[in-house]
Amino acid sequence: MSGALLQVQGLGIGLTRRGATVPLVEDVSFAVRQGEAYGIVGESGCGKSTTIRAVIRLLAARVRITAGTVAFEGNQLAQASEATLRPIRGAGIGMVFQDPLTALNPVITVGQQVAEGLRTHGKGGRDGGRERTQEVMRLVGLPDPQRIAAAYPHELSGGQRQRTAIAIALACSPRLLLADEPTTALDVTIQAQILRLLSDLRKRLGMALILVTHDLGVVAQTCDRVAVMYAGRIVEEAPIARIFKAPAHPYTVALLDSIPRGSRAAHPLHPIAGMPPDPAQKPPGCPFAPRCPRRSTVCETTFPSWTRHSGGGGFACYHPMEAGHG
Amino acid sequence: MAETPLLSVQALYKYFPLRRPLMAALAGQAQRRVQAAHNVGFTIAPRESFGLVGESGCGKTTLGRMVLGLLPPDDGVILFDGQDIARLDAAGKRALRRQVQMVFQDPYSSLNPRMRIGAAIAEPIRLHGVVPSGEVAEEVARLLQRVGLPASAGARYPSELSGGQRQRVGIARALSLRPRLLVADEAVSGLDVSVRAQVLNLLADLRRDLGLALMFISHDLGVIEYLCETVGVMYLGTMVENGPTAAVFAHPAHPYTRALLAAVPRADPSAVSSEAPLAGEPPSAVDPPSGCPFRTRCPEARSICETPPPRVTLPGRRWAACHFAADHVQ
Repeated sequence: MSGALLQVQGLGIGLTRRGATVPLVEDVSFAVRQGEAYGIVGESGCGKSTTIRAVIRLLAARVRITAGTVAFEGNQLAQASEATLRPIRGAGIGMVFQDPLTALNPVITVGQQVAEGLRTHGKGGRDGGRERTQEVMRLVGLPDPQRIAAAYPHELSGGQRQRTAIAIALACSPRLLLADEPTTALDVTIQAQILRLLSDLRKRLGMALILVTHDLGVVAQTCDRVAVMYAGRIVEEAPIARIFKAPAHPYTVALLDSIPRGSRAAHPLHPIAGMPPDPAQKPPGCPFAPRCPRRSTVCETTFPSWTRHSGGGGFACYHPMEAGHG
Repeated sequence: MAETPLLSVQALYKYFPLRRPLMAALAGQAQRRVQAAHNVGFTIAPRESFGLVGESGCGKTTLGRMVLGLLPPDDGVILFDGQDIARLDAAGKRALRRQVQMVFQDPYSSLNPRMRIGAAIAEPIRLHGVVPSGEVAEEVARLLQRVGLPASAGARYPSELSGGQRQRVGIARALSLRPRLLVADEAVSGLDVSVRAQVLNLLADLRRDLGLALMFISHDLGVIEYLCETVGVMYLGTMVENGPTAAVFAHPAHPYTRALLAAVPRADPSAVSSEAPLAGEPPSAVDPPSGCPFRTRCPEARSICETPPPRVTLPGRRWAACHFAADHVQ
């Protein structure tokens, strides 16, 4: 796709263990347009967090990119040096993590942490970023920014901490915000506030958002398009309405069928048996085949190639659902 | 409900004192306390599934621990099968432990990492003499099968099992004493959606087949709606609404219940809410607001809300603690 803000192509990520490489993410490709909200959804261990961490190269020590490219505004990031990455992290791409308490420095005031990024990128101005700090803190809806800027993270509530983390990520006006389960640690009424905040900010600032979550409800309320990951691969990608109305991949269907939508008497759940495979012992072929009600022998030997949806996106499956499921 | 309740909680109070600096104590400053339960009352009928829902710090876990007899209330009465659990002698307490069992959120921290699964399940069976000692192994195998685990799981260690399997072990262990009430605190919260659905169905099947009553504590409204016939909604140590889940969720009478339901992100992109989310955060449970605890965030609060709200009885075995509850339901 030309004109994409972020283009990930054939991304492979592996964990080096005892001289061998365990594949965590395989052949992942997607593109995010300017100002778009893109969701990546899947269960624990599916590689969704690893994928977005790879975008700004925040991978753990023994985890590395083994294949593919990551292009942000034309800059190649997958093999770039730290010196090349530095001006992009924070200023081009911001990131928000699941647990703001571990993402924030406990011994530095919140205001200093917001200003730190500004100064690093030479955007502090004459007052060392004080004015801009207060501006972004107001932008993320922190009440009384002057008082909160002087506070330490432990003095804030969970919701205020996540707003602070978002303020830090936004301080340098990035064009892309990566958010890894940003509301998972929050209560549901606070989650609603933060999701609304992210959507509002995205629209006001024209920023793109990649939201990684296990919660299809969060994706439905926030994203324009979504990728479903299973065992390190994207198995389906589609515009948001299509994923919920006409899912093609049996795993997408299984995920949707696992969400309680009323009492058991009225809407019984029919969950798929089993669990995702261990990355070190992934079966050949489609990793979902052992749990898939639609599998055939070919699924167990060869990973299916990508089939395009007519309205954008596509899926990797030999036996997709007929249109109109659910 | 005409039936005698299996569990009856009446006017329960629990406060946790905060550590007071020595100087403050010497200066005669009042002891500050966290309000965990303030005049909480509800009942659970035999075989009923009751859901307790609320956000972190609302006191739902404390309430569960008091029902289990793990924590004494400051005031109020908990009757199990008509007996005051605070007045039981040693033998009575032992009998209560058999009848009221628990399942925790994280079975990994509640299972001994160096004990095989089979031994962990056998332990309570032996201690309470549930079956003759010659039949313990058979009973363990039966329980493993009952919770959907292969018999071979008995020889494994907790670390060799997945989260969903460990939660099944936790359930098997709780069931081993053949309880009448199962208290489950966030029992499916750590699980992935597909595995969560499996465990929810397991709990529902067990309840039906074994005639268990369930007190299911969760922050997840969807899960409560799926599993529980009745629900209690907690806010800042008080129960604000109680009644049949279907009716409460369809026509919430308390503004907090309404806000909570509106905040759940629905897995339906055509139902994106345009309503402004509930503003603010729950106030500190150390100095909860006077009168209605929700009035500081309530979009409908008026001056009368500074006085404690009455428990308004509503049609259909429901009540809500709001001055205006009757206006919302009819």
